[in-house]
Amino acid sequence: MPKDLRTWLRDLEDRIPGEPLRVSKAVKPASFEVSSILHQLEERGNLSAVFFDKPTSVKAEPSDYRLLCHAFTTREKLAVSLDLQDSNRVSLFEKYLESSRQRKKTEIVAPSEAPVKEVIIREKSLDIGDLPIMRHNSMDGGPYLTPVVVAREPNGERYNTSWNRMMYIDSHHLAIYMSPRHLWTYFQEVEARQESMPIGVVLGHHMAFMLSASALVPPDEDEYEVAGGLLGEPLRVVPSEAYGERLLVPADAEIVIEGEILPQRRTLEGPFGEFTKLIGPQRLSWLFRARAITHRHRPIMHSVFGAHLDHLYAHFPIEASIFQRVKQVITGVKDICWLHSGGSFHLVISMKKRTEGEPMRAAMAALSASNFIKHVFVVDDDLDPENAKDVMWAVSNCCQADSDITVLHNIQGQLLDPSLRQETKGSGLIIDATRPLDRPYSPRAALPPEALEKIRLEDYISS
Amino acid sequence: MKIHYVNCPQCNKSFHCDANLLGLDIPLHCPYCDLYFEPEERKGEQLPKGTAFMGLSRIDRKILYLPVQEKKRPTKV
Ligand SMILES: Cc1cc2nc3c(=O)[nH]c(=O)nc-3n(C[C@H](O)[C@H](O)[C@H](O)COP(=O)(O)O)c2cc1C
Ligand SMILES: [Zn+2]
Repeated sequence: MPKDLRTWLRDLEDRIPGEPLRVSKAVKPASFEVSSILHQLEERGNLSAVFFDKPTSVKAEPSDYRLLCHAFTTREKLAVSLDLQDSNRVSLFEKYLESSRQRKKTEIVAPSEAPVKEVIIREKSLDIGDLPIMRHNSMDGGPYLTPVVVAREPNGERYNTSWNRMMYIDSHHLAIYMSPRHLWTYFQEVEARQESMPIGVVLGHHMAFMLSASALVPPDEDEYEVAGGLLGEPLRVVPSEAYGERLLVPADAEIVIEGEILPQRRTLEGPFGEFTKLIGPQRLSWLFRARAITHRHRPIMHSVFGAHLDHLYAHFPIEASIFQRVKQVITGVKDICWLHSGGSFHLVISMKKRTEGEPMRAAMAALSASNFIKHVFVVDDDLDPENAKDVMWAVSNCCQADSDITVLHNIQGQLLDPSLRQETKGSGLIIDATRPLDRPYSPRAALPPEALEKIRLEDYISS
Repeated sequence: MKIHYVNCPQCNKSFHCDANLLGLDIPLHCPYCDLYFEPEERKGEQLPKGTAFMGLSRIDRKILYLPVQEKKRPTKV
């Protein structure tokens, strides 16, 4: 049986007891009800996937759609997605890197074999407002989809997959935001010829497929084949209803909106919460017009929760690629991690330092690998880089400001960082909080492990 | 990106937009009450004529898409 969102959900249920949480009461996603539930769960430290049985449409009417959220939020779920038994971060990095290298040719199937064609709604009768689209954070310009967009290279055979937020406008229109990456490059070329660009808006598939959309892949490679590598089997695709073989869409997706980005048209989009947890401003974005919606029976729509942990975790492939680069430069690097509080701008590296200066080189490798990173903290390998308390302990106890902190000037920053004074150029920071090698250093206070193990708190203190 | 805060003339709530939008002849959209309105002061720096913005050399109402229901409504504010 081909992998899809339903096999992913079954694996999740088998491997993580209690997941997904099920909400059987009707909820109104376009009135912040889904986001209010997800936000409160996250605040309480409950990062389970959540399955909504009865989300209403944008118009607050009962719908046939169901909704899945918080599909990324934990390493355990990434392990389910990548079919890895252990959920250790480094094992996940290695599994992702290895699978994404195993490119697999796509398999074209007939529409009769494609679950995504179980229901076909053509242009005249479709209404995007029938979908359970969330408003994520206050000030959102409208209800927002967080799909994986698939597009065929203009005049080529290769496919690109990318995450692009899309704001609901009306029955046939969405705004689409494209930062200057591959999809944007495709559209530049097409728009110069005054043509529109067909795309597929994929709203649910196996999470290994969805992860291919944040993979850092050179533009001359096919991301459908990368998705196949991550799935561990060829991605099955099918000709689209509106464009036939000109646009092949994933056959095992839950829902695909087919349509095109129109030339010489723009629309207002935003504000919208970014993965930095800041609200980006209203701006001009591109206009998408829908030509068909195809979906499975009782379709399950997937949504990433914007400006929350889910949004950061969906970028996991980028973190894995940074790990690879840093490890290539300094083999003593043991682990890396984005500090959740700082979004992707704060990166922690834990490493076994062999000579002084190595932490600087590791940090510079990370900074050169991605402009997602602004401040790098380097700690010894006995500390957990995911644990902000450990990291701040190292900064306070192993660091002298005049010699261990370096400010880098004039490096390319992230467009999403409003603290940049110049549009694209800013500064970076490296804090080397590793212990010095040239003299003995006091050990970190700890209890004898045997003593700790012997005492069960419940035997002494009733809660 | 330079941003600018605007107040909606209908619900009086404030939101922010790309400052360049104020230099263009297009309305803004209130995320709270859904009103499309002309910002009171066009404080944005006017882009020099012929400057490409978002890949286009001219941005005006013709290229701007407004929702279907909006086109049927009489002009507001
Ligand atoms: C949930 C989520 C939402 C995203 N939204 C957007 C977006 O709206 N526009 C965009 O350009 N990139 C967005 N990104 C980042 C792109 O997916 C990412 O940069 C990707 O590598 C781009 O792929 P491409 O270079 O193949 O086009 C988002 C990422 C995630 C995880
Ligand atoms: Zn308003």
